[in-house]
Amino acid sequence: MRYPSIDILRTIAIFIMVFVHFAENLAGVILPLTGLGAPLFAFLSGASYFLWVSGEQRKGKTELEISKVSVRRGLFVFTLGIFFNVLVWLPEDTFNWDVLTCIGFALIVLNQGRRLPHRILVLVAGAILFTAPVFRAMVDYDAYWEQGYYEADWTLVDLLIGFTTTGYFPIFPWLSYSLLGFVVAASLLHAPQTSRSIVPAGLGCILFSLLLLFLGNDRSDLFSKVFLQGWKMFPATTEYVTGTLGVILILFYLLHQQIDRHLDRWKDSPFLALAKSFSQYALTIYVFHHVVHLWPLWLYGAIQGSETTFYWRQAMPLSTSLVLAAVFLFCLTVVLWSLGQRQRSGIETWMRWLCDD
Amino acid sequence: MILIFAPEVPLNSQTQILSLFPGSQLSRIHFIARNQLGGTQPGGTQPGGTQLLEFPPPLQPWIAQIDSDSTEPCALELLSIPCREGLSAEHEQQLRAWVSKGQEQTPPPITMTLQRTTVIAADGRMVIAGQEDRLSSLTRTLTEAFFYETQLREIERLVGENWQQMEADLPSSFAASAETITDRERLSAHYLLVMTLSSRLARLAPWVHAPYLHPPTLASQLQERFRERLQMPHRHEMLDDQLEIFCDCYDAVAQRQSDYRLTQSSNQLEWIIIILLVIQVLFSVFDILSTLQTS
Repeated sequence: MRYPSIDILRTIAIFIMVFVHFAENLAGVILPLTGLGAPLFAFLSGASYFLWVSGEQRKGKTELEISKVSVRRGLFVFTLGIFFNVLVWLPEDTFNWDVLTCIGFALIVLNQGRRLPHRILVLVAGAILFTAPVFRAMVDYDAYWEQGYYEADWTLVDLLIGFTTTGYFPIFPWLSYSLLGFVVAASLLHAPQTSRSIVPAGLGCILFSLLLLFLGNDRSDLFSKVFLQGWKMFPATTEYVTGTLGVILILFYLLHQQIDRHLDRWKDSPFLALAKSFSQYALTIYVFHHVVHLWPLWLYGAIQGSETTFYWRQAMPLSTSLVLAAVFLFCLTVVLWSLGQRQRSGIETWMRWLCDD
Repeated sequence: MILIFAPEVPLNSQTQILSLFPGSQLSRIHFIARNQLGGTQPGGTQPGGTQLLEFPPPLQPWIAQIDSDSTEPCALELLSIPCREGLSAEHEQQLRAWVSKGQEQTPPPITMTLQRTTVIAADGRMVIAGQEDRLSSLTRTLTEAFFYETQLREIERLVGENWQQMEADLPSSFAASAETITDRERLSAHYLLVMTLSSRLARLAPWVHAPYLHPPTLASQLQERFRERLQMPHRHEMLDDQLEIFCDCYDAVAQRQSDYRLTQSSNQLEWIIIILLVIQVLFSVFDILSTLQTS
């Protein structure tokens, strides 16, 4: 079954992502919205995986078949992440550990984790979240981010450290979003009797984040240096992860209560139809919007004879970048609207063709 | 005795019945569990009622109470007719029609005649026609028998209604899963129902399988005939067999559920240990990585 709440959340994530990336990569401005899109994507990857597994089980697929497809899909997304880095961020950033590599790995982990009791998955997510700051401290996270962006040598050690801890989206702590997305979807969509705890959990996360932010003020001891680093996306601090998680949980719950449970009221809504299209093409849009705003930048730099990435973050003023983002989203909306529910073709289709039985 | 109505005219109202048989008495009998009374009335009766009899120990919580003024539906409408010479065929036919509530009943009302005493009984209604001095003991004995039959019928109904559900729950008696665990409350309610029915059936056994009374009395003989005509020992045995299947099924379900939960909590503990070990290993790995990175 398709849940419009998930489509809407994914559409919100796409809109945030497009504006944030255009502003950051073209104008070098960090918007206040920055840091809300990626957690939504990671969380929804877990929720969608749960729905996909439930659907396959309903179709009578065996555990082995589901596992095979899960691993193939995970590897596809992971490999796509690597290719994406090579083609979009250019070969020198092949191993910057983008969100796609993290989600690909999360799918493989979830394939194993889906059979575990949900409490254990929550425990694993908590362990990932709370050990991440220690691991970052152990491997000297800041050494990889001296220029304000991630840079590492192509050695096995640095690759491992980048993938697990210091890259853009390392599995510590980003994997916790996918694991919790899986658990929350199972609880909210398939076990309504346990869903009442989601709002208190969301509020608890937000309060915990605020408490950490409050405690972190004006402290310079070792504990604070490791655990209380303030609201940061790079690295994804405990305050940031718990805060965004709290917001996502409450949003997901409210949308589910207001829309999924009153589908008859919304079934003819063009807004939901559009959100569904955006959601179905999320992976394609993620790759495509990077291509649209970064390739011209690299191309222009190369034509001008300077370094390819010379114009990165300094190509235009913020207002122009935001207008371009709006134009891109408008064109995308028109294209998706005209496509409607016609036969789809995008990266998602390739993934199904390659990975599904 | 004057016949007022033609035999084919059904006698449905209380007034018609009582005017047809002078001296007759229509009692509305309720079977009440003591815990429903609230203990406010002396003698353990509801306001306005008179206790007719108290059941023997296995069924002690229950009493039969006559409450002829009550308008609430009663368990038994009992018509006692004092007559010395027995009922005429026409009267008997009329009373059978009254007991049947003017409808075709399956099974039809039973009629027993012994020593000029006639008993006609069906679902919810009974007629006892006999010598006036024996009516009191006959009323008590046959009300008791009627109560046991009602209980048996109720158990039969509940068992019949739950067969399909029990068969649907059979897979859960073999293995519990996450799905059946979420269904725990319903399964637990069925388990409780089955155990309650077994208990109720067991409590009826001493009476249903009681040996004949010696020396016999009119009341005891009529009660024994009532029991036999309604095949109560046979029905009790059948129910016992059927409930055994239910008990086996839900016993196994309860056992599987309990095993599953125990295993689940034990698994969770194991997983917590595994997670702690993995964290420890990860710390070591990161320690090594950081050393290699420095070198």
